[in-house]
Amino acid sequence: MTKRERVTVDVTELPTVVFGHRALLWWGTWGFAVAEGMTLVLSIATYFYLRRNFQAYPPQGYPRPDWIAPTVGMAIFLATCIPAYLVKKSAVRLDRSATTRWLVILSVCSLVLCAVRTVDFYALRVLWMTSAYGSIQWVLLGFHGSLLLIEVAEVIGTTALFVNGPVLPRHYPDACDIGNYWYFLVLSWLPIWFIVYIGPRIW
Amino acid sequence: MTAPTLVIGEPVPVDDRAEREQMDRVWGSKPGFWGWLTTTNHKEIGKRYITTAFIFFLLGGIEAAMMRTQLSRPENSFLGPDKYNQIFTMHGTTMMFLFAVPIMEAIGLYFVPLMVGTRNVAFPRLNAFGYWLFLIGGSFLYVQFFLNTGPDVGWFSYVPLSGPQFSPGKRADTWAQTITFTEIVAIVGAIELIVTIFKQRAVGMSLNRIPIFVWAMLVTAFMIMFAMPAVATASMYLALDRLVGTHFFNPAEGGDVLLWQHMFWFFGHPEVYIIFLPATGLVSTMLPAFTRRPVFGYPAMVLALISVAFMAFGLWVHHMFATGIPQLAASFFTATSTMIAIPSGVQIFCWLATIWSGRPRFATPMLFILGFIFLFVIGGVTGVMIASVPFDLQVHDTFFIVAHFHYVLVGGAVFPLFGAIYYWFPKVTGRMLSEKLGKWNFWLFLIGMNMTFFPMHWLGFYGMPRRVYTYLASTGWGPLNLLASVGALVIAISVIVFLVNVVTSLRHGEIAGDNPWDADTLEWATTSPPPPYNFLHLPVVQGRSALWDEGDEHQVAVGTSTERREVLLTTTLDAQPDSRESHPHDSIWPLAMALAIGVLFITAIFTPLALPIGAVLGFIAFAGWAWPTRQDVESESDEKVSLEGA
Repeated sequence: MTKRERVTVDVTELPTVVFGHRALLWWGTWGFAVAEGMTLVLSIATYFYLRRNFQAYPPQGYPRPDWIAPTVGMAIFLATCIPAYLVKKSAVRLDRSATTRWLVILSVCSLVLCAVRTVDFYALRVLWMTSAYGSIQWVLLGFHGSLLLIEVAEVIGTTALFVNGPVLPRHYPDACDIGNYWYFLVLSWLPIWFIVYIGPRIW
Repeated sequence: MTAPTLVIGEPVPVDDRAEREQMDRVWGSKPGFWGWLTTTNHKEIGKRYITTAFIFFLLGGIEAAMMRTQLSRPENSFLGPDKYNQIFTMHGTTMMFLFAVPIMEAIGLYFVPLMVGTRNVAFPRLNAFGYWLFLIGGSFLYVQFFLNTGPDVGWFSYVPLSGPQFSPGKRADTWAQTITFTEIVAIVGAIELIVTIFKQRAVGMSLNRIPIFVWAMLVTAFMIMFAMPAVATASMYLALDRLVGTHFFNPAEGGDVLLWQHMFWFFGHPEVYIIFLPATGLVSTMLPAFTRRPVFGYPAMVLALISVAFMAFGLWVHHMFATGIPQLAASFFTATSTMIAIPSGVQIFCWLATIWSGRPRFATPMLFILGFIFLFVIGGVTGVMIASVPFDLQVHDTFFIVAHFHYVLVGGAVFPLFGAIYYWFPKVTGRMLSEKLGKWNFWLFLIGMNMTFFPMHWLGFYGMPRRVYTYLASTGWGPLNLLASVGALVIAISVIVFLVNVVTSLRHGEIAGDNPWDADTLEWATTSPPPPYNFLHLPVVQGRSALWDEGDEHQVAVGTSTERREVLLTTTLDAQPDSRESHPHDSIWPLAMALAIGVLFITAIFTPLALPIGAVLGFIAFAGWAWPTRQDVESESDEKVSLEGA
């Protein structure tokens, strides 16, 4: 180093744990949500692209998907935003016991949603190998289902940490980001639910 | 010896040994093989990435040489049709997915943290995971190839050729899974780069002051986030059609073969710019050092990068003009394909203006920059030609297209890349590459490149189709093919000269010093090679040309911990100090996670049991990755929490 160095900034007093867009993980979480969201958008585009190949939709000989059970499931999906919100709220208060409590509830919710997704598959009333119509229906649910499974693993892992592990201050913003990703998961299901189960009854 | 206390306004003491030793202890990796496996330092990972991608470049080059040998004369029997199909597929797949995109991201992952003045990339474990997954995916492709199960359906893998009906066996599955590997790797790298650039810039490096290479990587990373999911989704459809009997591409059951082309090219055309934009960033960042002036038209350059990125998503259909798309669509995509020449032209004129108004110094990197401008203009002009539907229909699937995209990709990306290696080799290794061998390398490459690819324009006009393993003597294509093959030999000699240069310079090259080119970006403010923590004191930036604008005194920020790994986070737009965040230590779990995902993807080709097995292994790796260690607990017990912005 040939140049002389002079101190002009001292960052000693800055915080070491921050929340929201000030933290790295917040950006990372939304980054993955955008890339995964793009996958879902392209799958929806595929749905409409393939639809042009059929004169009727669902194609002749295929029953329309059931809508009641998936709509109840959608309501359950939306309801799970409440514990996700409360996880965030308690994490911002750095309240370990409340965060743990709501994470446990969110874990149970995530398992319930896995059951809901199984019902969603049954409600399609078509198998993936019968035609391109069946294939895209299954893939729409499957892509979103794979995101759900990954989130289940993350929520249960984080819950285990809060129940039994050494919780560090940085885990509170992490818990907040679980809530954020949860919103993405639920909101991204809305258009798929509408297109797959409600759309065929409207258009 | 203890580290001195540093005070605002005071000069930093010259004797900084104690501080350096302390920082080495905190940021250094463990010695030996375990340290090698567990490191999360962006420079170590970046070097491996670059080296691995370059090895794939050599393998792809050997495949190219084999193709040129086969085509050097009519009715040659060096390669049979089946092997030729595999070789050209491996060449394209290797060059696009295992070399071009990864090496550009790898250069970004090595240099962006240095250029923005931080200690490591954001999410360093994710970075290590990305590299291991890349290595597993690339190795998988080549193991399959050597087992005669290498893909043989082209790097674009068009259906129905690659579908279950026409490609039984596992060859096309190998391609589809290799793509899945590389797409995840690319997206992971993109997110690391975006977050590093947005949140870890040096104090004072507002967005309008970041080096153009960093801008290029930022724009490219966003493109990756939107483009790569398209090919990942398409390759998933293909795998499902082949493995579990879906019908996405089966017209008999309502599927559509053109769906593949739309999905593939929605990724494939932005892909060209995902390779090309970082290369332009390299050029714009190197040029000031060789012209002794800041790059001309910084705002225009940045706007050009952004507009190219947007436009790149609006012209994929020009790859599909021959598929019978509606006339209105053809006109639209002709217009957009032509329009992208405008921002590309803006960049070229800015480079020319920089050279014109500067004091050019013709060192090897500068020669490669000039070669790039010359070759890319040729590739760009032929690109405008084939944007026109009638012309495109004449030369579609001929060697004219091969000539065009090699001028764009070799001229537009490989030349800047070689220039960049000559430019930054001193920073990475501490030694200069030989200028004499560098000039041999450049001239042989330039001559070989034109000998190989320029005749292909004529071959295309004469009607020689792509992807044929031989031709008859009566076609008259023999002499031009022989010329192209001799050119390939010249390129091979050029690359050998380069390798000799690298090997000899690593041992005997001239010692570089911190800033051998007297360049203006921050990576030159630290030692060559940089220490594990990059900068002993984090730089404070006062202008766009960080090192030229600061005068005789280097301003620094102090106050990040010297007891644990910690990075300084700054605000997204203005890069004002915002927080100090603890930084993960080295870990074996990224490797474990990559192995788990590798097992999942590879065994999925053979059995559905892959899913539960991969899920369990992945969850174990995730738990190991995220669960705090004793070291975490000790170093993070005394945090200062801020709820502002929550």
